[in-house]
Amino acid sequence: MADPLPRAVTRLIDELARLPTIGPKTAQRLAFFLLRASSSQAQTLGRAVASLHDGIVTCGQCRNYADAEPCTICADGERNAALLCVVEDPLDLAAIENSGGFAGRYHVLHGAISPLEGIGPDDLTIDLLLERVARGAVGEVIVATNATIEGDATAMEIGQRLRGQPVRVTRLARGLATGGDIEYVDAATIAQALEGRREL
Amino acid sequence: MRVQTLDLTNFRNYRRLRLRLPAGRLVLIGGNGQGKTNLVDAIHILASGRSLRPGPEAAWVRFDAPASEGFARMRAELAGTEGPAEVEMIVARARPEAGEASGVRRRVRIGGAPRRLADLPGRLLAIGFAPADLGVWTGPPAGRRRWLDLAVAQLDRAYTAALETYEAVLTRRNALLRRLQGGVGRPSELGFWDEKLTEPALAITAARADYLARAQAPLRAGFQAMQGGARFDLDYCPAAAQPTAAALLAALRQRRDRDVQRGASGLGPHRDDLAPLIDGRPLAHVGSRGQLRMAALALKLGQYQLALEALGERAVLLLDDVAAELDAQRRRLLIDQLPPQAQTIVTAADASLLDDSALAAAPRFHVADGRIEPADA
Ligand SMILES: [Zn+2]
Repeated sequence: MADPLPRAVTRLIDELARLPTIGPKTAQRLAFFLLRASSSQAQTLGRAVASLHDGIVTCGQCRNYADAEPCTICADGERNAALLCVVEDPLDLAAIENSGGFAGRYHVLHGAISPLEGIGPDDLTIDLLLERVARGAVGEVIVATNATIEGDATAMEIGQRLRGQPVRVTRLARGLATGGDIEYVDAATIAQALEGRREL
Repeated sequence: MRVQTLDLTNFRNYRRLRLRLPAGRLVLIGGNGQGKTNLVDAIHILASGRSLRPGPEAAWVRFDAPASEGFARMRAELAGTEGPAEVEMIVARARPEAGEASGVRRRVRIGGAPRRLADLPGRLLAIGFAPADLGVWTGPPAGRRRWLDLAVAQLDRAYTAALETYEAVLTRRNALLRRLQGGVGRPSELGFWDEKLTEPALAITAARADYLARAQAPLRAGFQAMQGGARFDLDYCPAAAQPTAAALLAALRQRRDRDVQRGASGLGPHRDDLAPLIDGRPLAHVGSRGQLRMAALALKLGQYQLALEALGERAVLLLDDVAAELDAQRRRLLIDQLPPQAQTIVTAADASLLDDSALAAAPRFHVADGRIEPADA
C-alpha cells in the first residue's frame, strides 16, 4: 500500500513521535502545524534544533549546561559563594532560580540514587561536590533533591560524605509534598522550603 | 453497611452498568465469563484496592474499550452507621506512546474528593469468599499474608500506607542487592535502605500482631461454627520479631552478606506467616482436607465478627462461586453461618445448588454478557 503522505512529512512525524510525552497523534498534529505555517517558522525551529548541541558546555564548577565556561551563575561575583544549593537536574535549578528566593550558587548532580534504574552514588557528581566543598569557600550546602525516596537516599549519602567537613548541611523543608518534583513546584512553595530548611 | 448502587464503566466485561442492590441477600446466576464474578470483584476492589483474582490491573479495563476510553470506572454509593458515603476508583491504562511507564494509573475519590490509594481500604467494608481462598492453609504463605493484610487494613487506616512504603523500599533494596550480587556498588549503600525499611516494618509487624491478638476469640468462634469441637488458635509467626528499630537494623546488618548472596531481602514482614493450631497441634499436620477448607472459611467469619465488634459495622459479604466448591453438607453449614443481617451477594453458575438452603428465597438475577436482569422477569 502506498503511503498517503509525502515522505518528508512521514519522516518528521516519526522523529517527533520518538520524543517523550509525544504520541503518534500529537506528532501528526505538530507536523501538519509546521507544514501549514510559514516556511520561515519551520526553518527557525529547525535551526534551533540543529544548533542545540553546538556551543553547549557543561560548567566545570556547577556541572549545569551553559553557553560558556564558567556559567553565568558561577561567574557572577555578586552571588553568595558561601551558599551552595545541590539539585538533581538543570530543570530543578531553573525552578529554584526562577523563584527568585536564592542568591547562592548551585551544584547539579545529574540524577538521584535509584537502585531501580541502576544509578548508584558513583554515577552522580558527588565527588565533584566534595572537591568544591574542600576548597573551603562554602559555608552551607543546601540539599534540594526531590521529596521522593530516591531524593532522600541521595540527600543522606551527601550528608554522610560531608560529615566531618567544616560545613553546615541542610535539606529543604517538607513544604514540598512527598513524591514532589521541584521542577513542578511553584515559586512561593520553593521560597518557603528554602526558608524552612533544616540541618540534615 | 451496604452498597446501595454500583456504577461500572468499561470495567472488565461491563460497558456500562448502574445497579441498585437490595439491602439483604442477592443471588447472581450466570455462566462462566458472563460477568457475575466481575460484579462482586468491582465491590471487592472498591473495598480493598485489590481484585479477588490474580492478574495485572490493566485487565480491569474492558479489553475492547476504544483507545479514547482506555480506563475503567467503579463507583459505589454506600449506607453505613455513619451515614451515606461514596467511593470511586478510576483505572487508566498507561499510554507508553505518551511516555508513561507500563501498567496502569489508579485514582481514588472518596465522597467525590481525590484521595490517595492507601486511603481507600476500610471505607466500603466487604469480605470476599473466593474458591482460591479455600486453599489458604495448603498454599504458600503469600495467600495467608494477603488475607491478613486485607483484614488489618479494614480496621487500621494507617496500615495500607505502611505496606505501600515498605514495598516501595523493599523493591529498591532488592534491586540494590542484585546490583551488589553482580559486583556493582558498595554494601554500605544498603545503609539508607535498611534504615528506611525499619519504620514501616515495625509498624506492619505491630499492626498484624495487634489484629491477631484481637481476632483470636472471633476466629475460634468462627471455627467452632464451621467445624465444632476442637479448639482453634491462630499463631502469628513474624519473620522479624525484633521489637525496636535498633534491633531490627542490627539484624538486617548481620544478614547483609547472605542477602547480597541471594540478591534478595530475607528478613522482614514480607516473610511473615500464620500457623493454625487445633487443640495445640498444627492444623496442617492433623487436619483433613475438609477441615482445612472449613478453617479457611472460619478466617472470613472471624474477620466479619471482629469488624462488627470494632467498628459497629456489618461488612458486605461477597461469595463468589464458593457453593460449587463444597459438598452439600458443608455448603449448608456455610450458608447457615452467614449472618442474616449482612448484605450478601452470592454468585453461582448452577442456582439449584442453593435451592435447599437459606438462600433459596433470596432475590435472583441473571447475568449474561455484561447485563443483569431479575430472574423472574
Ligand atoms: Zn556553573
